Amino acid sequence: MDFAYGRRGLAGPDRFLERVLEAVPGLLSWSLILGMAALSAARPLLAALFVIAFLLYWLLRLLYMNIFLVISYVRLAVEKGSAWDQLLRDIDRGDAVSPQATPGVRQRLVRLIRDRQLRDMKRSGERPPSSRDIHHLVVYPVVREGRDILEPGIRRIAEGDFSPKRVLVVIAVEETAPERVRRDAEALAALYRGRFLDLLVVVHPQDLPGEARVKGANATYAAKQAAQRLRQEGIPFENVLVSCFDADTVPAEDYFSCLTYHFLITPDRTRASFQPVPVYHNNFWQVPAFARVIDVGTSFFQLIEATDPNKLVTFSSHSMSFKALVEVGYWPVDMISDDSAIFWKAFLHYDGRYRSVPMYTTVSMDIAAGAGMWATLRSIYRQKRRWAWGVENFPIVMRAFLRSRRIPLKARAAYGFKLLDGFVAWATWSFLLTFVSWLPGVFAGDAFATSTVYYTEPRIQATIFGLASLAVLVCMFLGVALLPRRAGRTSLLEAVRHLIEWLLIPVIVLFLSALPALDAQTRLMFGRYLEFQPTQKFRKTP
Amino acid sequence: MILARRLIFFLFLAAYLFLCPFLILYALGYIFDPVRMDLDRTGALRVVTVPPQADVYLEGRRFLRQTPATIAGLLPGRYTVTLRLPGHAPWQHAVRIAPGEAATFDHVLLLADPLPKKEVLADRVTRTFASQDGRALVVAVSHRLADHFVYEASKDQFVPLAAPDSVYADFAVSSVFMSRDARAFVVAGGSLWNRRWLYLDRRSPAARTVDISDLVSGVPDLLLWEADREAFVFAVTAGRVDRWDIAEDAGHRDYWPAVRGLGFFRDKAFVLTQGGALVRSSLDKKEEQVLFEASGFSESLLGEEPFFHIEAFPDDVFFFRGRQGRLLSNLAPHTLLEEGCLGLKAFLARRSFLYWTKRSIYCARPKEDASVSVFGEEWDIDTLYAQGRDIRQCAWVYDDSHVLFSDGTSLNLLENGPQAEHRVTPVAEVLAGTSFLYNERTGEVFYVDRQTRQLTALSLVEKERPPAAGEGS
Repeated sequence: MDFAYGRRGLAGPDRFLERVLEAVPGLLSWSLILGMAALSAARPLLAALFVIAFLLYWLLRLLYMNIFLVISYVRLAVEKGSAWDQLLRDIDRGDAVSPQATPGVRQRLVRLIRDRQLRDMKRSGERPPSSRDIHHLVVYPVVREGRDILEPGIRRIAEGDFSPKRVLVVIAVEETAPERVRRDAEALAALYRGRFLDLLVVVHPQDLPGEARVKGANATYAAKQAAQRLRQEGIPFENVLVSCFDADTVPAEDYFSCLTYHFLITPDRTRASFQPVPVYHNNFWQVPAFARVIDVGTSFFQLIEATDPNKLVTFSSHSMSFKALVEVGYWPVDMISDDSAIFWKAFLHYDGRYRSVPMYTTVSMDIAAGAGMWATLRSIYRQKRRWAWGVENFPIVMRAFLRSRRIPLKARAAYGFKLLDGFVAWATWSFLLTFVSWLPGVFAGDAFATSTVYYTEPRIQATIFGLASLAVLVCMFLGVALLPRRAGRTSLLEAVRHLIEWLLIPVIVLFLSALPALDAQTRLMFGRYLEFQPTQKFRKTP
Repeated sequence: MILARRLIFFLFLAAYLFLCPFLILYALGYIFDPVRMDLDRTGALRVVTVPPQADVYLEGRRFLRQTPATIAGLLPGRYTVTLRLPGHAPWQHAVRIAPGEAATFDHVLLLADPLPKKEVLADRVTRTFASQDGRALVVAVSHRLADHFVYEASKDQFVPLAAPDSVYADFAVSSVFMSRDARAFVVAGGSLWNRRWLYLDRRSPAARTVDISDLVSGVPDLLLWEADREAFVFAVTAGRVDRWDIAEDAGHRDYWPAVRGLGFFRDKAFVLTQGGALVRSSLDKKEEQVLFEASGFSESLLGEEPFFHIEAFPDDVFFFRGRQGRLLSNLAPHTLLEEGCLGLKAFLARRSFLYWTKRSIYCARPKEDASVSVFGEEWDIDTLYAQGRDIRQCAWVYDDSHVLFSDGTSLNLLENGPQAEHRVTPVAEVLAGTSFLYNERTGEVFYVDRQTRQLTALSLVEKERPPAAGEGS
């Protein structure tokens, strides 16, 4: 589909439609919150019945998500420690999964998964390239981050189980970055260049035409320079996977071999993105409790999303075929949400024949933090608002969907609904649960106060919240299971502390998740577009 | 995985589509009768008691839940609900359950059996004086000022009205007037040929007493204090209002000459002119606003009453209490009583107003759906009791759920219950002609026992008593 993905440069009916669609998520969210509040005042009995219907919906959805959270976590645990290099050799040989010496439950599960993957690959009729021909391009866009933030990720790539000689690393530095940032990048390049195919430091000039001050512009510029380098090496783009990381991203040791495996076994592999599970372990124990809990929640959300690959959209650090990236025109250079926008750009470019493939391996990043508690709160709020700014994709995608005739209607409807539902739920659920659900009782006049609903509704509410706490319990224990290990085992004290921190969830989700989401949607509604603000990374030096 | 996900999704969708209407129907009170294969709409019963944790019996069947309790799923009809709590008299009530509605008994008072009482003053009481609003009580064991006692709320006890070493200790008291909350008093007395007036200020630790006889001209029919500062006393004498400035020891005769009514609310005075106009005035008379003009209508309303005590309440509710017992209001119906009104008590939280005659007790509440304006709202009037013989005093108990009233020598508790049942329970025998004081904070009533003639405290409502000043330190 020939579609200019972005909101800049629109005119006439397109501009009008874009503005109308920009207002939809915010209008819907505010209408829901204020509408329920108004209904509570005007018709408390009717509002109480709506509250019951909403609470039941919320509970079932919570339990539904919990099921997939557990499934996804089990899969993550099962796949951990997989011998990817062995699997790659097996694929190169054209073998099935090698039989295990002592099959246990885990091995049986892994074998089941592998067998199915290989069956899908064989069914596609595509012969994968040799794993030895696969190269990786890793782009690290940098604004203010220094060596202490960058180096762990680069070192992990150099020491990982995938040959670094087939990895091209690019540190993409903004021209406006402080001098020390450039010095640090050059120092890292000097130290690690020899271990990789190459390690380039690319300085992104500011104020290039058509660009906004966004990470995507920096990454695109760097990727274009890298493309030249790859051409020099004679490496075909269809054998290259590009990973656009954040400056603080530290991939798992097996990330690139896992990525290579998934690339090889995925049918139509150059029309796919590959989404790992983001975890926020880099500075996990250095930040306040509320900061930890909210980002564990983000990991959980991505785990749940991974169980629905048909509707999975890329988020944060992820990978994709470099051929696809080039064909769709690289990342948007004028949008903040480049991570999800690139998925939509590719989806629309290929008329719906593009998808995200979940990978059960992790990339670790920093939890947004500041020097003190208030600075941390501010940093987290801004980060979540930036994530919620992904709603800027909604009007662009819907405009494209309205125009497209090749993407099946069912797919357009499913994606469109999921996009809108996801953002509206994100912005409204906490407010509905925390404030609106109690309003009918507050506004109860005599007529409502002498009805059975007035007395049964609180009981139903209490029962539902009680059942919902089961879901929270599951999250609490999975949160402990996902805890980063310090040197040695996680202490009992740390585990108990983390369990207790989950009790902060109702307050944290309201102020550090729902409120930023509503903020972002409201800004979009009024056309007050967000400017990119790099997330503050803060680590205590030992 | 995708197939499994789809299956689970549809399972949950089906669960929602099934459970949601079921839950809503349950909330509305519907239950499914498997015998008739039909839905019945039930009602609920809500019971809250003081004290709590009473056993609930419905038609003789005990429920697991103790009070406060909500019993849902009751088929429509009449039930007998009984509450039992050890050490308390059982409480029983007939209740009608309507479909989709909850019958609420949210102010059930379980009386201890026997009611705990204690002697407050050892000496026999000769007279009592109650404030206009019933919130203060002075008891006398003799005519001497030193033998008069007032209830001090902060200490939760009766204390001497005047300082024990006061020069006026032997002053022979004939009348006592008091401000709200009993912080200032005017005491009349002395000999027949040398009538004196004393002012007692209990706000100061020394309980200052001054002779204000020079300020008084004539014998006031009524003494009123302004609402907030109590710096001025307004004496109503034959339609004339004098202002006594106690601090300055100055009297302003004819401060409002020729008035037909007077009252105070916050920092404003409400004056009814002889012509029947109602004026709101600042206390210094610099700002005046006519609330309604004199007219034939107001004149006919006021009748022959020479003077009205005006009681103003929030949201522009006014009552006019005539000296001869006429009771009027600015809200329709304007004439609440033609004659015989002996008192008025307000419970502002629910805008309930209690008024009574010798024979009957009434409760008036503004209708919910009427607009709030100075005129135009309507009253809902309920006759709570009509079998009185000599009702003298009433008080709200436990918010506005009960009325404590004296009828002759009997002190009774009347239940202002839902579903129009007003049961009366005698709680004590009082000395005829004396007043009582009910303290809502502690749930105690102070009265003069008919047998012993002693001031007695009876605990009606079991409340957690806050420590009095000086206790527990």
